[in-house]
Amino acid sequence: MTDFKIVMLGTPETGKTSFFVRLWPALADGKGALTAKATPDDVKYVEETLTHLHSGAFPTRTDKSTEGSLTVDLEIQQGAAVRSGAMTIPDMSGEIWQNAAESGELPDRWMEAIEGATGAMIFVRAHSSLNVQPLDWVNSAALMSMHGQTDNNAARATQVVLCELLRFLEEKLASQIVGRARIAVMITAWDLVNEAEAANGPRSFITQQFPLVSGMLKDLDRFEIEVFGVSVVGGDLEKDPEFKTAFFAQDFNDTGWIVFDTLGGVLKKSDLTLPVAWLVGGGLPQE
Amino acid sequence: MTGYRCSNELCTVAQTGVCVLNHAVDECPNILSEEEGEGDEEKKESGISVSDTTLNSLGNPVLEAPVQGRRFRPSAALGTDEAADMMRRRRGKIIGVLGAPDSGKTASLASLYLLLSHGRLTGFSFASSRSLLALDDLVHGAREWNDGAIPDQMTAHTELGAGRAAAYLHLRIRRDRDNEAFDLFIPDLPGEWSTSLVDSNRTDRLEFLRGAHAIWVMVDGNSLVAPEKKMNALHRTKGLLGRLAAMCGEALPAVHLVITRLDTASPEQATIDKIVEDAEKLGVSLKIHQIASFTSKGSTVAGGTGLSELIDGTLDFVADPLPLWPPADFYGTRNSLRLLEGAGQ
Repeated sequence: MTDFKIVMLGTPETGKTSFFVRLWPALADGKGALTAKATPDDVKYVEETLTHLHSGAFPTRTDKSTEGSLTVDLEIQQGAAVRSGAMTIPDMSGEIWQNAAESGELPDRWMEAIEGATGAMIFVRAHSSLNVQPLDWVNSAALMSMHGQTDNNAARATQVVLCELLRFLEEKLASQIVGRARIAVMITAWDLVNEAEAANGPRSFITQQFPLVSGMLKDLDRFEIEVFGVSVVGGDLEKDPEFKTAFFAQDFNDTGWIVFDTLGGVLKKSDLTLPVAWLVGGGLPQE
Repeated sequence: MTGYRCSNELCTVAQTGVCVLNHAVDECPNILSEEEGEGDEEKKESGISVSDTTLNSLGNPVLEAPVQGRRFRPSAALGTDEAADMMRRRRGKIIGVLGAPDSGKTASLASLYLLLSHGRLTGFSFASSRSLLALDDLVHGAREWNDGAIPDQMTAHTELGAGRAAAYLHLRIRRDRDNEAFDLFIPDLPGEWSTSLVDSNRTDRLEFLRGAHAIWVMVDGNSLVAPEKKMNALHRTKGLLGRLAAMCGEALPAVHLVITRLDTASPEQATIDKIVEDAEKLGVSLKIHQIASFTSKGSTVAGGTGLSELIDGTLDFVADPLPLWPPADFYGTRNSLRLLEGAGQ
């Protein structure tokens, strides 16, 4: 019997696959809030991608392995309870979500994946060069003055796309279950935020960087929402050679961490299973 | 359908075979070839059908129910039925935005959205929008909100269906000081409706304004400053207010005079006082606002100035309570729940 189903959404290169794959050994390690009871049969993709991380590289879009969808059945231990369910990334590349935000269309099977899910993770990457800033008064005035004259391909702001994805979740997520489903907003590459941003925490980051998203998160009564900053290995493997060297010297299971806001301030924890534990109904430590 | 497709969202060549920019169809730079019109290869392979959303974003009513399991409700401007449904459920507030063409209606809505996008609408924050892409289209210059003349082809097209049903922008905003959220519905009222209200007292399409929370009468600040424009601007504004007063009677909502283009023009106080005085004589108690939706070169007035006060004033104002048992014709010929359905016909 499936007790939980988590669907993971996000536009291209927002860290869905990296997090999913990093979660794997965290679940197997047995030290976190959740532990995998058994290794599922088909983990070939996960194993292949873990090899990338072990060698000091993040999975990239050019990997064939980052196409299509990925679903892994999980049996986990949470406290005394054993729970079974699944985590799915309907579209690892993320392009389907990008298109869906513009067109409002989604293939049946993915629509069903959202409807049948009990919780969702929505990904955004901190300070990604792919994040599109909202228009300002200068460039908007220029575009508006060109109305009707050119074919206007200025991209939608990332926050607009995220709001649309949240709207889809509001419309379809967990439409079959009673009670408030949970949505975890995962800000990946949290290691790239500056000190002040880090000190203010993930919710404040969303308010500063994505005001429309911040407002919408406060308005989504139907769900419980939590915002996590995530660093899957604790630093930038691609652009920080010093970090990379230090990374190789560590036990892989000691790398990476998450942060979240509590009443007492921003908490940092090395247990990467916490967001999933929360999504399946657990609480978050407060210190 | 004619088989033609156009990259210009406003063009109806697919339906009418006529180019909205008056080009010969084969010569228009925006016309798409068959291959281009069908979407790119990647989308085809993944089995996603990319629907032609241009009709939706034109503000045509989105009347059909979403196909279960395949579509999300679109984020284009809301159609009349959809808006009416939301209004009922959420106690929404209609803001009727009237004014001469080029008085700055689109710019004000665009600037409001930009302020929210940057978290800079003082005292308020964004909560949600069911027409977010339509709002976003405004600032991308991908659609106008009834500013300027509608091309003849559009008029011919829209009159085919017994007049155009209004499309609505939806904006839900949260007020910081008490955390209260407001659902605002702003109908896309073609500029000529304001003009024909003044010129011909054509009220049938605008009677729904009796149920509006507020009416914004937009006036280009430049027209109240330039000597050769001022007389006519005062005259037309008074005419519009008079028609509104006559049309709505006791049901007249709060009327806000929104003087635009503060970055280039600030009318004299005497001019404003005159408008207020004339309005009083018509039984209209005006609230005055001056805004600069955008800024022009050399101006020290920032884009977005005055909009927060306009929103605050619009939401803060409590109109005289409507009579508990209104006379039968209070809301026109339709009952209050069908107010919106009357719009556009």
